[in-house]
Formats: sequence, C-alpha cells, structure tokens
Amino acid sequence: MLEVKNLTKQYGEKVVVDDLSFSISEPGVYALLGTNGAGKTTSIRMILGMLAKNGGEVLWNGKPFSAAELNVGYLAEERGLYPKYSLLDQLLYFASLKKVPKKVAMDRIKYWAERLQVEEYIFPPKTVKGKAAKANRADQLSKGNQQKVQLMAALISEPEFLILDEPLSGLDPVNTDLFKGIIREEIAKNKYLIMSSHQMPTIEEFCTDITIMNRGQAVLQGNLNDIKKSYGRVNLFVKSDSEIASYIQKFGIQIVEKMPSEYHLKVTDERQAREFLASMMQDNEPLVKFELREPSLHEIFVEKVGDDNEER
Amino acid sequence: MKKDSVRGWKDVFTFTLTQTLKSKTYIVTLIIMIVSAMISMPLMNIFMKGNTAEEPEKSAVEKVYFYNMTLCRNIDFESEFPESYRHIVFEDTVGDIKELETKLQEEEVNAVILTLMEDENYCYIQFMRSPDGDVTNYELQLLGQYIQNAYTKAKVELLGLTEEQIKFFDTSVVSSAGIVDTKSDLMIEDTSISEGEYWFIYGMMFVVLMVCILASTTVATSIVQEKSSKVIEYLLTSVRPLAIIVGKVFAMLVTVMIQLIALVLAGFVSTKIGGLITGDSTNVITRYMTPEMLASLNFGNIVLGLVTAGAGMVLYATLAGLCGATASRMEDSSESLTLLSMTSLVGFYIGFGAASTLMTSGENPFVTFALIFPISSAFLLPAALLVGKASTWIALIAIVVLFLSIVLMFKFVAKVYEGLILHNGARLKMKDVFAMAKGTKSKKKEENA
Repeated sequence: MLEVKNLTKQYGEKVVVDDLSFSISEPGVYALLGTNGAGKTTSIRMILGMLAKNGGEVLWNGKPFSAAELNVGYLAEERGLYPKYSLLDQLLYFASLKKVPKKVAMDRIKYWAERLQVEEYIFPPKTVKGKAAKANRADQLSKGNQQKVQLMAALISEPEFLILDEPLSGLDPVNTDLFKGIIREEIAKNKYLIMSSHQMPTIEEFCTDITIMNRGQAVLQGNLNDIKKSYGRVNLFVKSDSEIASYIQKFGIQIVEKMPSEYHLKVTDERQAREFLASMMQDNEPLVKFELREPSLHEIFVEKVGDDNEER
Repeated sequence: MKKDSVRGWKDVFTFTLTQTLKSKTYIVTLIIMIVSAMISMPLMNIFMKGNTAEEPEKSAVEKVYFYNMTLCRNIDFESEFPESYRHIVFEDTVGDIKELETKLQEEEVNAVILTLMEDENYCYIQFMRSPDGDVTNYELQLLGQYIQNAYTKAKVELLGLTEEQIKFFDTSVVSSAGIVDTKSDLMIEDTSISEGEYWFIYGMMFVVLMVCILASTTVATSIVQEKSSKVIEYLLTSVRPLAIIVGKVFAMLVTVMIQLIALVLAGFVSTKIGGLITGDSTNVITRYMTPEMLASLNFGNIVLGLVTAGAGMVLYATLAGLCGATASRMEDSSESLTLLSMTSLVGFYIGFGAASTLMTSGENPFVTFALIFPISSAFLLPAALLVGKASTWIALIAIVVLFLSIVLMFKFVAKVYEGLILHNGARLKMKDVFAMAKGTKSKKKEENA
C-alpha cells in the first residue's frame, strides 16, 4: 500500500506542491491530473525520491518508500534514451540497474520486443546486403518506437509499482491500443500504478481513484465513480426530429451546448429530467435520443481548474 | 555520504566503460596515440642520426692544405685525431689560395683548405672543399672539433701550463645556498634542478594536465548528454546521483589509464624498434636523462606518481561532473566547464611556478606547498618524484590531502547534485550551486528544476 502524506515542495517563496496527500490501498490505477505546471511531475519525482521534499513522507506498506529498494517502473513524461548507444545495450543497462540478471533481462527484452513489434530495431539482422549491420541506435527510431523502447525499460524489471507519466501521448491509434492492452495486463497482474495524463477518456478507462491538482494543491480527490455520483446525473443529451426549445424554456432548463439537432442540457435533478421527458412524450414529440448521465471527467476537470487557469 | 548514495555505481561504471571503449572516437584516438608513439622513437632516432651522424670509418678527406695564421706553430693534429682521420696528410701552405681552389676543383676533389686564424677575441677555423668530392660538411665539422682540441693544446703548451694546472683551471664552479646551523656545521645542500630536469617536469605536467582535461571533459559531456536526453530520469529511479558521478569518474579513469598504459607500451616497443633501425642500444630518453633522474625512476616512485596523477584525475573529473550538471543543454556544456578550466590552469601554473623555483632557488616552502596543494600536486608531484625532488613523505602527505579533497568534493557534490541534475533551463552559475549547498538556492533558479 502506498501512502503519500503531506508532500510539500517549495522553491524559495513559491510552493509548487502543497500538502499533497493520497493513498493507494489496493492494486489498480491511481490518476494524478492537473494542468501543465500543476505539480504532477514534481510530485512524482518526490515520490520516487529523485527530488528532495520540503515536507511530508511517502510510505510503502508503512515503511519509507525507496525506489531503489522497491521494484519500480517509471515511464517519464520527458522520454529519454541515449541517442548514440545500441538499444540492446541500453536496455541491458537499465535491467542491470534494477538488478535483473543478464539472462533474465535478455529473455524479457526478447519478449517485449516481439510484443511491441520492435524486434528489428533491438535485434537487427547481423548482415545487410552481405555487409555487417550496425546496431540500431535511439536516434534512428521514430518517436513512437522510442516510446515503445522506453516502455520496455520501465517494464523490464517486472515492477510491482509502475508510474506512467503521459504514457499514450504521441502514439498512433494502433500503438495506443497496443499500450492500452499492456496497461490492462499490468492491472490484471494486481499491480499498483500511478498514471498522469491529459487524456481524460484514458483516465476514465483505467483509473479507479483520482487526484486533480491545481497550482500545487489537490482540488479534488477520491474514487472516480463516487465523485461522479456526487455531482448527480444532471447532464441531459436530447435529440429530436422536431424543435424542442419551447419545452426547455418551459422547464427553465440550462442549455450547456446546442448542436445541430441535439441539445446538451443541465437539469437541476433527475426529477426535473423525468418531468421534461414526460411532457414531451405526452405531446408525442419524435425523440431520437434522451440520455441523462453523470458529468464526464473532462467536465469535472474543467470545472475544477478551468476558471482558475483562465485567470492566469 | 551514506553507502546508499553510491549503490549501483558499479553498474554505471561498467556501462560507461564498455560504451566508451566501444565508441569510435575512443578507438580512433587510441589507435592514433599508439601509432604516433610507435613511430615517434624510430623517427626521432632517424632525424637525430641525420643531425648527429656517426663518424665515418675512414674520413673522405685525403689532404689538408693548411694556412696557419696563428701564433701556434707546432700543432700536433695527429695526437687528437681518431683512427678514421689519421690518414689525412697536412701540408702547410703560404701560397696563393686561388691556385689551390682551382686545384681542388679540377684535381684533388677530396682535399680541403684549412685556414686557422686568431684575434683578441676569437679563433677561426675555416674549411673550403670541392663541390665534386666525397667530403661532407658534417665530416668537416668533426674535423674542426679535433683541430680545435689540437689548437687549444698547442696554446696551453705555448703558455707553459701543466696538465694539472689545466685540470685545476677547468674545475666546475657550483654555487649553492645553505643555512647556518649553530649546533653543527655549515649545512650546504644543493636542491636546485638542472635545465633538463626542469623541462622533464614541465613536459610531464603538461601531459598530466592534458589527460586530466580530456578525462574531465568526457565526464562533464556525458553528464550533460544524460541530462539533455532525459535519460537521467530513468537512472534516478534505480541509483542516487552520486552513484552516477562516481561510476562515470572511475570509468573515465580506467579508460585514460588504458590509454596511458598503451602509450607507455607503445613507447617501449617504439624505443626497441628505434634501436634496431639505428643499431643504437641507447634510446633517446635515456640519452637525455641525468643519472639522478634515472636513479629516481624506481617502482615505488612510479606507483606513487601514478596514484597521485590518478587521484588528481578523480578530483578534477568530479569537479567536471559538478560543472556538467549545471548545464542542461549540450550547447551550454563548454561554458559550464569554465570553473574546471580555471582550476586546472591555476593548478598547472602553481606547479609551473614551483618547477621554475626549483631550478632557480631549489626547494623552499612554496615548492612544498605546490607539492601538497591538491590542485597542483596532481600535476607537479608525479614529475617531481621521478626527478627525485619529492620525498616519499611529501608524496604520502600529498596523496592523503588529495584523497581528503576527493571525499570533501564528493560530499559537496552529493549535497547539490540532486538539485542540479534535474535542473532544466539556463545554465546555473557557481554562486547558485554554493547557495544550493547552503539551502538558499535562488527562487528563480529553483523553479527551473
């Protein structure tokens, strides 16, 4: 179990992470969300022990967290590989730093290379057109393939705790699905994950608990479903073959967005939505869609940090 | 500095060493160094042979027409000549030189005209030879030396001096300074070094400086590269920043040592080849080394010298690692090395000053300071040991001071490296680094971290 207690980072007078606390009690994915500069990466660096803390503590099963002692995998936001060294050498190096025996590391590299379809780069053919081929280097790879190699580096020690900072950014749809599949497998292995991303649908897809940070502070925390429930089902999407503006006006419902043949409305509660529906049904309005749902994470996020950021 | 801080340094060391040894730049540099060292001695021997050609078995000069315009009439040339010159016939001449010149050009091409003159200040030995003969200028130079010796001997005889008087007259004068010891005799000790020793120290200091700068720059560049490529974030999940710098510094030390050992071995082989080519068993180095220098060139001094130079490299490479960590872009890396360049140059000049002092005044407190002061001892001490101008005790004290400096440097680096290594943006200045060590890093700079 991971416990982050009152984590604080201060640069001079400026507090970049202010009293951040959260815990991950069960295996699964915990999301750290926030705008750029909210303090997510700084928090991750402090959790990993890369950056000194001004206050607070990080505990793993009640003991101080040590990335070197615990088997931690990290996919950093700012990806990094040695540009001029052979990819295989680099992966073996990262494995040796995690105390993975060379033979085991080699087997894992082969497995992940095949899985992520980068075998030809990590194990290039020994000869090309009869000449000895040179080992592939990172600067010869596309960004997506570099990201795959970096994911391999994060997974090579089969970590029990994984931190993924923007894991899907810059990937094409095919590779996004490939990465998502791997993340699902890691979750299925009962691992602890922290994920930071700006892609809200991805967070909703994987995460059970979240912290939204704004200007170094946690502005919203908890179980994602509970948070959504607390907002209530007030988002109403209505699509009709006829114009329904008069009904909306009659019930005094707030229009969030008007699309060509659909309205996104915000009702006060479920009762108002039911009465609105009953009224239209009574008049035999040709309804195509009537969907009442909780706010999306995107909407919650914008609500929590949007106005504040606009002020900046 | 806890043990935890350096855990994993061996992995960093192994990887850095392997990658450096595999790198094209290193391999090419090593090959160039070895090839240069291999050909240097044979070339030097060949060039020096060209300049100082051996005496011919039999001189090509057959006859000397001698115009003696000095007061010495009975000059015994034969007694001063080696066997190869004894066949030369001397003919005193007073006639027209023009006629003789024609004779040399047309008939006696291996004869030469010798004119010996003197005035109040100088003695002149002048040769004229035929352009078509076998006689070379070099042979005439040698012949000139023998004639000079014979002429000097004749002058001495003319003055009526005995051999003993000449020996007494030729006795060398050595000046020295001593300290009066009231409890014992007057202490006179010459501690100065010869010009040859001075140049030996200077040359060795220069080599150590170059090697130090090369190794240190490589460490700094490697750190900046890891920062700029963001690899550092991966590394820091497994090892502490200090382990990274320790691993790199020692890897660089080993690569430099490999280069040096290869250079020494290549030099040894080169000397042997040079000897085989010229048939001269003595090599160029030993020809120029004084007996004192050769006496100091023992195993103990070589080991102490290597330890000092190695420790100096570690000190400078650690400083380079610190300097490198202040930059986060490759384009800032050379600027970040200002402190390293300045420190190494100051160290070199202190050593240089001490070497000059050794030549002019001998050992004094400044020399002792330079031998012990860590930034200069790395350059000066190895050479001073090899010329016998540093005692074992001084060397041991200097090594202890160097190791203490390294520990202090590591402690300082451990304190600031964490903040430095994740710093992004403009290069940090040293005042920011010191402020960081005190925990008062400026807000603006910290925000960039």
